Amino acid sequence: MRFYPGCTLSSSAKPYKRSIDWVWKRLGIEMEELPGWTCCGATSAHALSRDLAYALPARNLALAQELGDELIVACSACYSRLKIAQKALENLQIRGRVTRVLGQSLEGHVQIKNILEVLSGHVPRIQKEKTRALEGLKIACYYGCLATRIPRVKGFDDREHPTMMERLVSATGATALDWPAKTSCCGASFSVIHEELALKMCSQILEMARRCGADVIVTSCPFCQYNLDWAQWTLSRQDGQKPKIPVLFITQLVGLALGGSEKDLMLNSHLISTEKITCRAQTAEGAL
Amino acid sequence: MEAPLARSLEFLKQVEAHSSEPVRRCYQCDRCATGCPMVPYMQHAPNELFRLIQLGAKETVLSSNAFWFCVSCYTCSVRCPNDIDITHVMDTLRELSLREGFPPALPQARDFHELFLDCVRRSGRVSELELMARYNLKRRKPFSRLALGWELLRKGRLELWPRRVISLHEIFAPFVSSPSEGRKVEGRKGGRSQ
Repeated sequence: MRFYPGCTLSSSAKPYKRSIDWVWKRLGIEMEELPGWTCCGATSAHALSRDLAYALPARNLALAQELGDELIVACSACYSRLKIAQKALENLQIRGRVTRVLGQSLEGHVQIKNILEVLSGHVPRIQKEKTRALEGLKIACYYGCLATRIPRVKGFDDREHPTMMERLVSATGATALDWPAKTSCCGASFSVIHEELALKMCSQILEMARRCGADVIVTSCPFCQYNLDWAQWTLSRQDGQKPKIPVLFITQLVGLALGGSEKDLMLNSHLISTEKITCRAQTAEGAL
Repeated sequence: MEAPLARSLEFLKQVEAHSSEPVRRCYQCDRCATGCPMVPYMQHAPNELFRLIQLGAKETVLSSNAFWFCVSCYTCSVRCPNDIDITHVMDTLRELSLREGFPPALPQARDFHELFLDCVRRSGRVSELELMARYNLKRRKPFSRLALGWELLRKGRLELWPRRVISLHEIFAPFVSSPSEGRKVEGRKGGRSQ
């Protein structure tokens, strides 16, 4: 397995990378970083240039294709861009244009997998090998837009009502809530270019989670995690009132169940404190 | 105000050719607008925009703010019963609008994307710290989000030194120009005059 981490995983989503590494080691999954990988273009390439939005992911697909391996992607935006480009490259005209620029053929097929697919293959092991039962913890699984909504591509889960994270949450012993905002949009890059609007979008999601009684939100997307964390931090500086909901990466939650420490999983790096969950996990350890 | 149906097929064909999407199939079912989280901020809902494209109202379409407010959540694309990738058409309209010299409704979005791509061009990857610093300078708000930046840095969530993997000038050259060269998309002949 080759891993495409994407740019955010060495920066704002470092806890995602750290917790993936920890969980993978714990479960004995072997995965190497794709050597020489470059940015997929994220939200900006497709905003300004159609062909650049295909060429940037294609460069990485060409690298992966030489190694003839599965490509595992953690970031929802990277996953979406790679999948969209791969689909578009089936069009011979587009493939012709991109091949000319890259100077490389794009004949081989790379199997691109979302990290949730890999993780959910280990549900029975997580269930069996967990050292902490997170019973009673109510969790809202938040998928955001990009992991499941890829036009004309058969996804790994239902587009509007995915349930893969819920299965993982149940494996940890926690309760996965049924809530209606799991594929709503957090505003993505609008948290930079139009703060007010992004705050509004995040608030609606957070409010829904709050009303459904969520103790925690878990997500598999770096932008969703950052935006929901950032929005609560920003709003609390304005009003300081509402109860805050920690936003964890799914691998941090799985890691907690498998016995990972706060440091192993970088749970101390969040803008909204994750203390209440780590405390809960430690209590659960005593009980198990 | 443009005369409706004046150049009808010309613009429709241009949008369809660039996007490879069958815009003509749209029959106004409104599912895109119903699912769109940004409709309240758009001058034209996606289905309205599509009708205007079918009618050839190029000027109205390309000067709309709709595609600047599109957040690319793909809800419309996966719900469209006519299998039109609407989000991709929004990208097309943004690209055409810039190319033809229409001023962007969200200039900060254009700046952000250009700076983002410039980071990728020069080093192969994006450094969030570098991008935010350059964005603040460009927007002439050098001290914006300082408290947030400090908080992220303190918690180990900002990489201090950008990594240079590889320069991607060759991949970029045919598609977008670097900020130092000025915008390829601006000041084109025959842009806004119709």
